[in-house]
Amino acid sequence: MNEKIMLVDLSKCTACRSCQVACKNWNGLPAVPTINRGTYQNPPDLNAQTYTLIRFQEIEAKDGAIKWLFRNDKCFHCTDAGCMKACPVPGCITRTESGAVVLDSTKCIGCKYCYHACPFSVPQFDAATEKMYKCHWCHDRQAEGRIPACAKACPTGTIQFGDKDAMITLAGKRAKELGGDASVYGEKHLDGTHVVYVLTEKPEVYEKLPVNPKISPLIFLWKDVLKPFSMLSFLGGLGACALYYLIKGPKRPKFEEGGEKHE
Amino acid sequence: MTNHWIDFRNSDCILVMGSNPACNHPVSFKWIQKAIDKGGKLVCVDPRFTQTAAKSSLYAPLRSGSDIAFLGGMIKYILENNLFFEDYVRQYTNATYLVNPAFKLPGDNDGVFSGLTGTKTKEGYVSGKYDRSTWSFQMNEDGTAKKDPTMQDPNCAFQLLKKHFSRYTVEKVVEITGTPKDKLLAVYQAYAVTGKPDKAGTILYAMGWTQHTVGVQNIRAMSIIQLLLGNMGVAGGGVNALRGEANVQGSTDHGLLFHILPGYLKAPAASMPTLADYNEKNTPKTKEPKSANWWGNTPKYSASLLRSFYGAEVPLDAAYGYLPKIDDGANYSWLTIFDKMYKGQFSGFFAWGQNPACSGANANKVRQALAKLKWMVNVNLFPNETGDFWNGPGMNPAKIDTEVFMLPCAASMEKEGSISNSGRWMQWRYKATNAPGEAMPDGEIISELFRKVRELYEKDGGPVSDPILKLSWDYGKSFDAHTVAKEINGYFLEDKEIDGKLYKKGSLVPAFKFLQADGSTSSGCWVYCGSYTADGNKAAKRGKDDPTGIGQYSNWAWAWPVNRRIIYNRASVDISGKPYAPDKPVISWDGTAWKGDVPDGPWPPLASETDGKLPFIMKPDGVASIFGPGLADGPFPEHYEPLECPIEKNPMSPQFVNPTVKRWENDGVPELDKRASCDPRFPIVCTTYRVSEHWQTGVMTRWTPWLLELQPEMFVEMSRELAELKGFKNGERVMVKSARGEVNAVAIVTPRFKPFTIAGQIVHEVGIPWHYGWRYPNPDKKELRSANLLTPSIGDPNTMIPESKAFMVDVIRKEGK
Amino acid sequence: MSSTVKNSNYELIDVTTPFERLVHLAFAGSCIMLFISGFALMFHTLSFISTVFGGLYVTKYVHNFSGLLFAVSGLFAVVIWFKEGAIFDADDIKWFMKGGGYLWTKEGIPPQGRFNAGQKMYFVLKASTWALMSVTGIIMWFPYFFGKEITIFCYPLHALGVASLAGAVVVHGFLGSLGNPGTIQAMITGKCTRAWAKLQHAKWLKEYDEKHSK
Repeated sequence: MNEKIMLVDLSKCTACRSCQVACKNWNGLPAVPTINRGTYQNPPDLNAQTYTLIRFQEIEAKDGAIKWLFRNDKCFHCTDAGCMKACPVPGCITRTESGAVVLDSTKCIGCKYCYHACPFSVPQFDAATEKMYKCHWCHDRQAEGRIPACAKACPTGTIQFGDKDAMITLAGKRAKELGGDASVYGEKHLDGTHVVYVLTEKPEVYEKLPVNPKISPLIFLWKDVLKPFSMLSFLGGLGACALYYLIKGPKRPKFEEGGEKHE
Repeated sequence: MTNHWIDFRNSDCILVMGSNPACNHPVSFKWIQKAIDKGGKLVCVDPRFTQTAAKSSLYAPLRSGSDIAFLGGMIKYILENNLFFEDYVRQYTNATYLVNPAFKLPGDNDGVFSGLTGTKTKEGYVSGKYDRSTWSFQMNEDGTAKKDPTMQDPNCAFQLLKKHFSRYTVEKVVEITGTPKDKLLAVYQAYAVTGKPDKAGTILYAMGWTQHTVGVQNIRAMSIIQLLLGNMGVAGGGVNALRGEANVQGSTDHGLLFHILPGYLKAPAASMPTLADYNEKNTPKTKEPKSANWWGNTPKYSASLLRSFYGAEVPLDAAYGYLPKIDDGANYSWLTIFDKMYKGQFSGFFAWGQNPACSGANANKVRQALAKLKWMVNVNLFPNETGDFWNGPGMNPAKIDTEVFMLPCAASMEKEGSISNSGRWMQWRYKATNAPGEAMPDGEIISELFRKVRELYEKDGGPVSDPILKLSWDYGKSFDAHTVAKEINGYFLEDKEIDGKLYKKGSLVPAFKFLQADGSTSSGCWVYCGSYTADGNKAAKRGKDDPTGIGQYSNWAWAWPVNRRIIYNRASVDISGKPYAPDKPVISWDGTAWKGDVPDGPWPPLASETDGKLPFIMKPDGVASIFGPGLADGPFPEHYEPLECPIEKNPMSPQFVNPTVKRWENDGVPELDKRASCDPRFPIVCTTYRVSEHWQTGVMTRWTPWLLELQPEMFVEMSRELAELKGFKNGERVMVKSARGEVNAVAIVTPRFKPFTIAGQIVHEVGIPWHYGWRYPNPDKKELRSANLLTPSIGDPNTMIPESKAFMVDVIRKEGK
Repeated sequence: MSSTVKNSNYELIDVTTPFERLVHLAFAGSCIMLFISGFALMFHTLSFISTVFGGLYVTKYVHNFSGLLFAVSGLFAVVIWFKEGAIFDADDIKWFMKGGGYLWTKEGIPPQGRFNAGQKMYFVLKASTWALMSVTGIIMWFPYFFGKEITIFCYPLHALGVASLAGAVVVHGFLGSLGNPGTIQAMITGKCTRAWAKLQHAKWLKEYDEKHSK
């Protein structure tokens, strides 16, 4: 399978939320009880039963002009994926050929490292199962030659799914067409995310969207410096002891009188 | 719709007013987006900043109920700036027709047209009725109307239009609508551009236009604009009602409403005792030589319908005699039904696939009315607020004697059949799964019900039993959608030779031009004749080819009439048959034949001396109505205030409310049909709408957890300014009250609503969705959460569609909080 | 056995109290469990270790609850050994300068108290990493309570603790067993031989004798 990109052109999103429902439908995810909190956005955030969410955001300019932004939020399927880096379980978070970062919840031990290592805070913990869950890009559908459920359900062409190069070209073309503050988001971040936005506003305008998403240097320090160093420390200690034992041997007490100081 | 969903992509300017397709017709946005991608403009006019507004390049707010002022100003703008498509207007509309000099416009007649009779109060006329004799044309000796092709005669429709709308100055419009002047002019300018011959503009409207006391005139106003700009019949144009229900088009086509029979044949009235009387009264005549006057075929369609009802054995006259006749001028629409029910004139009621306890305007009256019934049968997928009305908030079950039966029925995916979408496409659907439990498809329930009723008549006899005993009902024991579909299409009942070809008895009629007035054919709904023929079930066609290149997809499903995708398409070409928009031709005349869509009749273009025909074939004179004398409330639209409004005077005229509406606060049940206009207790304009996630009263969606999760509760949207005034916080629980009821809701405080300045005063508007009830979710709370508990009992004089889009409320902090 | 003979080199002397040994056992035991389970969680290549516990999911809990024991026993350890373990004197300086007699010379090591300078150093390291690992560990266990910003700092800090402790723990274990025969008994039976005490903790032995001769 070729490497794929999911292009999310926010200029076309009408917040019909078919993606949100189609995702739950395909993945058999239950609805969670919600209340109206003074916004259309529900559930309030991604959760273990909600892999994709439309975020609603109202912006009022000084002249009274209003913008109502809708953003389809879900896993970005980063090439440099923080979650993969952090996950302690071999084979729990893997990458498919198309670029999906798949979290196998059956293997998850609930340590939540992935959530903290993710620049977008995507993976979500379920207290009942003690496991993390997130969008898996419908890798099961992809394996059968189908496109992800959200892309399939989207009526307006906001979510498009296709070969990497074609989608990147399309994204660039679209951003140019839209002009103004429009830009492509994701293509250059984290070695290229597999979900790429065409934003209509500057990235900083969007709530919960990092302007320059990066895996925290703390994660690098943890995983790339201190982790190997821990092993080094352990092996070093072991080696030093072995060497000492071989060269100098044990320090035995002298039971013959007066011998203690003349060893 | 005159056009269809996919055709939106051909538009150069899409005006969304009285609808919110991004939210409520999400799939339509696929095609709207395609129009935008090609450089088309999306313009949204709405009291609040909607999801559609968020995608529009231009948004203008207006106060609910002020659409005619807004559109009237646009008509003035188009005319004064000479932006209209002159050839089109002159050739294809009645703008050139000379009107009776005795006709008077509201500007010269205290805000009403000539001929009004009724009681005059300080608000102007109330419950009036027009004598429409002056709304007529000056006639030539030969029976045709007098015309002035230069359109300069002061009595010609064009000059009257100009004069009438000269009162709709920008200042006056702004005073009424509250729209900022620059936005108003920007909308006018953007839309008027489509008056160029090769440009097309379309209007997408929905219940935001129909649910007003001036609902029909709202659409008339836009129709006039579309005619002035030459946007009717063309690709990307038309007047397009986004229907609120997947098959509401189909149910209307098949005679859902009290005043029509299937195929838009008029309902027989007491003054038409015989079929001949009926045909005489309902068959329009014309002396215009170039008018096709298609309704001239009415006798063929009425005869075929009677044959479909009663078969070949019952003589046509007898069959006509079996049909119930309505009293002349009587109205049996929704509001009347529940008024009469409340007054004890019904003993039983089938609530079939509906939820009137939530969906009916002034639902508290509906709930009280249901309590007066002896029995009610609730046919639905789920037990709803109607079936459970006796147990609803504020009801005392001990005092209600209504016996309620629940008949569970199959959902759409549990049965086979067709639906007709807004674009008139009849699309076949297959059964996906069996209905659960005892649930049955509606067709089977009806069929069995009818057989039982007939058995009783056979056994016990009874007055007027023939209409039941002789009804043709050859559907067998189990209901078969194909048998019904064929019946709707129609059969030859005897061998018939037409144009040299023999059609055998029992064969399906290929198209409605073959239907006969002599009783030799049947057709259950003439507009669908041709849908199920010897070639098969055309609704099931799934061809994906589009040789036209403009998205007609003529081999996908079947559109009435005769698979015509854009009706009035003869108006898309000039008199020689050349398309006005050569890059998106609907039809074109190659000298001998039409190419493209199925044309509105086979005749050559208008320029043909011998048999050229005018494009508007359903109009008696073949031309579209700039001057429309057929309606109850005037040949031109005129701004009147909603029944309940925030200002004391109609800024346009001394006539406050549409003078011809039936005033239920006088004629209904005064203690329930209350009105509170300009009442300090209810100072806020309220409108109703839908959200993407719910449908109608939510019976199908509130019970669907995935949808309820997205929109869990009744809410009221209001401006920050109003919230500040009232001291409400976002997300706070409040109560919305009108003169008729109160509703619990969560306050959504948003910049998407803004206060209006109307006639110099600040007017606040709030909006509520109408999908909620009290039976689910939170049934134990017994809270009233249906928008229609607030809406008034008042209907448009032509359609009686209630005015649920503009009424007055107050919002208060919820008690006990 | 000559061990009962008073003042002989074989005499067994009580060098630790039962409570000390319990604390040490808990502290050391939890620490070893933490290292085993922690390494299984830290290195994909070592995740096979988790099969001993029944998989990584259980290993995580083994780690969490070992951590709990580590935190509690560590608290006792710090309290009971603080005075002996955290206060350095001039002899300790000398000890350091001679490398504890382990490396380049065996000569000139001043007599040591019950804890020699190396053990004191180990105590200081252990006490500080105990605090670090307990605090970061609890935050990592309940990250949503503390928030992403705080939690994400804990990951490298926790690993820093591992890095600084791993080698030291190995050395401590070696010196307490193979490296210095006779030592391990102090933490098992609580006894040591007079010979061992003379060799390792002469200052303490002196104090002991003074105390017991009265």
